[in-house]
Amino acid sequence: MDTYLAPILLFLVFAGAAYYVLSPFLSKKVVAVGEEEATYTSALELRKVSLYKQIKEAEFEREMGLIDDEDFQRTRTDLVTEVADVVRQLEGLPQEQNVTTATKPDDTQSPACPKCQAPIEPGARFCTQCGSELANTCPQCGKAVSEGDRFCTACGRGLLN
Amino acid sequence: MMKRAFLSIALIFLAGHLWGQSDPMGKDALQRELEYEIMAPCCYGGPVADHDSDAAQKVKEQIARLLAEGKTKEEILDMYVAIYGEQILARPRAQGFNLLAYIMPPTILLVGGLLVVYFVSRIKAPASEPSSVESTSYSDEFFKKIEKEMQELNI
Amino acid sequence: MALLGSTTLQLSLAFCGLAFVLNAMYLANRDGRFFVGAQRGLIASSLLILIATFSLVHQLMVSNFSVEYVARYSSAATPTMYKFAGLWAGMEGSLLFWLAILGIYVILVNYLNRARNRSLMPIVNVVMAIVMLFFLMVTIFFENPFTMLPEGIRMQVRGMGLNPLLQHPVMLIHPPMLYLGYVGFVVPFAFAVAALTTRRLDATWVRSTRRWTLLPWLFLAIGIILGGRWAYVELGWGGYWAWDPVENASFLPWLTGTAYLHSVIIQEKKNMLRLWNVILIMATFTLTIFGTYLTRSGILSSVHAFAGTELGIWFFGFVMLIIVACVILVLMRKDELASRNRLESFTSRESGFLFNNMIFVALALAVLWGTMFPILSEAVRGTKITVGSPYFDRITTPIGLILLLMIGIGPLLAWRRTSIGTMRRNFTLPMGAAIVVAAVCMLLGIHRIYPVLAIALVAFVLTGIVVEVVRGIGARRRTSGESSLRAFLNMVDKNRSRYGGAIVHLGVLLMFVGFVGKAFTVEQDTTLRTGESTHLQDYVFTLEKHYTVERSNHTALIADIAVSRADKLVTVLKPEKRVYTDQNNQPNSEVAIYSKPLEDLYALVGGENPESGSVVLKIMINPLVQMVWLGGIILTIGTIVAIWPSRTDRRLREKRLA
Repeated sequence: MDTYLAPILLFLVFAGAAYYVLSPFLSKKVVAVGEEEATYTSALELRKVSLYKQIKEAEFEREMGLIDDEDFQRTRTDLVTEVADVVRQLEGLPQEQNVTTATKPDDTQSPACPKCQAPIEPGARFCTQCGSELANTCPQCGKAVSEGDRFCTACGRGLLN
Repeated sequence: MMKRAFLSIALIFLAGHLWGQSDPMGKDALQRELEYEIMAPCCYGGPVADHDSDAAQKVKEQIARLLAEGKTKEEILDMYVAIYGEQILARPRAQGFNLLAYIMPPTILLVGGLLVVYFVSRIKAPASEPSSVESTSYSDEFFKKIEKEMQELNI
Repeated sequence: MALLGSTTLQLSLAFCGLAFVLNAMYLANRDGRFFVGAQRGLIASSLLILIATFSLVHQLMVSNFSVEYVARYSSAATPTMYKFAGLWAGMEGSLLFWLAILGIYVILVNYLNRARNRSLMPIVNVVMAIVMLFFLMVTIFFENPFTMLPEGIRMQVRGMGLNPLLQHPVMLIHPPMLYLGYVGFVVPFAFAVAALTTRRLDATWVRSTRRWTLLPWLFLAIGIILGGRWAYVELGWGGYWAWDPVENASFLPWLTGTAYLHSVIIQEKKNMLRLWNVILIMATFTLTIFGTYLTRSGILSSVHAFAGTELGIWFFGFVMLIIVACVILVLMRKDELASRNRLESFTSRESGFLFNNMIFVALALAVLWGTMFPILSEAVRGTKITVGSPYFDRITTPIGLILLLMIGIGPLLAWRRTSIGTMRRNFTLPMGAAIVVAAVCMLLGIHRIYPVLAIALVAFVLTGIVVEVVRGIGARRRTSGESSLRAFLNMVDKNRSRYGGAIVHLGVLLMFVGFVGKAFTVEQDTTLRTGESTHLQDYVFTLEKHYTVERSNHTALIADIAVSRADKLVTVLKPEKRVYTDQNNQPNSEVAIYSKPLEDLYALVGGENPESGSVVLKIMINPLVQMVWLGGIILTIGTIVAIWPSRTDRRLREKRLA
């Protein structure tokens, strides 16, 4: 009895595992893995939340008297400025333009770094001037693009690569 | 300055048992200390004080006898080294090559400390960065928006 | 049915290899089918390992002594739960157990990241597949637990039984915890490698692996503490930590892991120390494999070591491979690992963390140095030497005290920069407490430097923590009008890593108190006849009687020792000296311990002198040992507080912001 049971069981285990592993290949079509889910943007969002948490922590530390007003004011200003940088990067706004007076960026202008406005090579990954990562900008015109976009909203270049 | 700092750190490490008694040691205390300094010659798995074997028991009795004969701690340790080799000592003597064993840890600590100091001073921002100037490039409304989002997220 | 085990193990190797190949193909062609196939191959491989493990457990349970491993590590008389413990009693089984835990981690990581970290997961799986392949190959080709005994001798074998030292309830938890810790570090390591390879070096991988690091760290801590507990109640020398090479091997990754847990906070907050964090987690993982190597190679003499085998060279090769691969990877990415943010000041929490990190790493290096020194000495001078606990006590105590100081200072510093005013306000009370406590100690007649220093530092840190919590509760009550308890709970929930950390610190403090207690242990070796007594401190130990009892698999000599204090009976200690009849008459001592909150009475019977009718006894009074275990429990609670998701985290997660 045992002499038959073990090989049969083993074969079933093997067949099951093999089917489980190889079944994705039975379908002809390429399975989408959802490769790059929110790389640059999600990192910025995380950074923003982290900074918010730090602001809250600083406020609480001031409230409990762990840091004095002088430390608190300086820390808070630093943090808020940093948040502002992150938010601006998220919104893809150039530095010179205040949010209140934001004009539509000129569509024809050459690609520029969203942080420092230095001209950039199409397809560059980092700005040559300020070193910001340019991962979520269009490789052709340099405009900020959102994660998941199939085409650049400004110049229409395909983004799926 | 540096040299003195190093020497004082090294001294701390080399200094006798700072956990131990400071008052002059009686025979019993000396016996205890020796029992912790001599490994059990059966398997070298622990000092004779902690070891539960006939060999360890014999060593304990020997130590008591030798102490009664008026031998000093160093003499007794020397005798055991002569018989069993240096392996019998629960810790190497701080001399010759084995001095390295004692010098390395404080050196690591000191070098590590200096490295951190160097690293911090290298990446330290200039004393008072006028961060307020930077923030003027944003409008108040922009900040209000940020504050509002922070409130909404209720972190 | 042993066939089931060995064949599933071989199938597992095949599927793991397939997964590795599919993964490599995916990285080349980016066809999602290959990714899913590779993922499933790894999961199938893990499931097959689990089946093999269950099969071995089954063999142990039914005592199938035709399997060599079962015959060596259990007997028909072994109690059922210790038959189960046979799984990790020997080299072969423990390697399989290692693999089983890796399998569980692989399945969990893939399940929990099914919709996240999609660009990291392929590399994460490659790394885990390589580790799994290595251990599978070692297990199958060198240490197969399913090896059958030759036909001829099968019928005569009755099973050698589990080593009586391992027949202790703690031994049911200590090895699994240690393994969960050891193996668990593969996850953050794999993520770090993935982040490096894919150039996604922001804080994302750090956030994603926070819990994957805290959990193995906690398991390792529990494993280490339980190991100490086992040594204390079972080995009978009155201590819990002997600086044995294998103990050190488990302590090393815990130290670097602790450093990592602290330094990632800076990466999360300031996006700094990216290179350092990667190096730390790589070192931690390497040390876990190195520890496995130390345990299994037999290059160092240790009570824990498995019998020396030819495995050593393979493990050594694997460790070298990991180190070389890590160094190359880091060098290739070193420019991108440089941080752009800056430190504001020396007197900041950030630089506090840096010093803390340096001390943890220095401590780890010092312990590593001491552990490896005998090998070095033998290689250079050709002389065998011992580097034992007296050495380590001497070396680690000052570093430990500096660490204690840093635990106190760190939380009192402000982030970014601490002004003089803040410093004065935060340090006054703790410093005062430290000075007062030190003075009280001196007045009480404790003149030894380290104990006084340690107690003073404990007071310093404790005051710091208490003041912080009290002030925090006050602040919350002022702003929200909550009751004290509610304010406390909300405060903790708002910042779980901070207050969880504070609780862990509290646990560590208690453990330090326990370590100080060790310096005040008193002990006595004595020989007593029935009715005779001896004094130790203000206790009187009287031997009431001694007798021999025959039990199912051993004979026990039991001594009844009445302990009294001021003519009042405190307890009767009944230590035993056992001789295991099913283990070639192996002797084993059963310690008798009576624990009071502040001290343990500890007794051991060494043997009987038949001529004089006297028994050899060892008695000890161990002050404050309970604090070590209690500290361990508090450390566990604190870590769970830090791991548990807060309300804010859950809300942010819904918005995909955490």
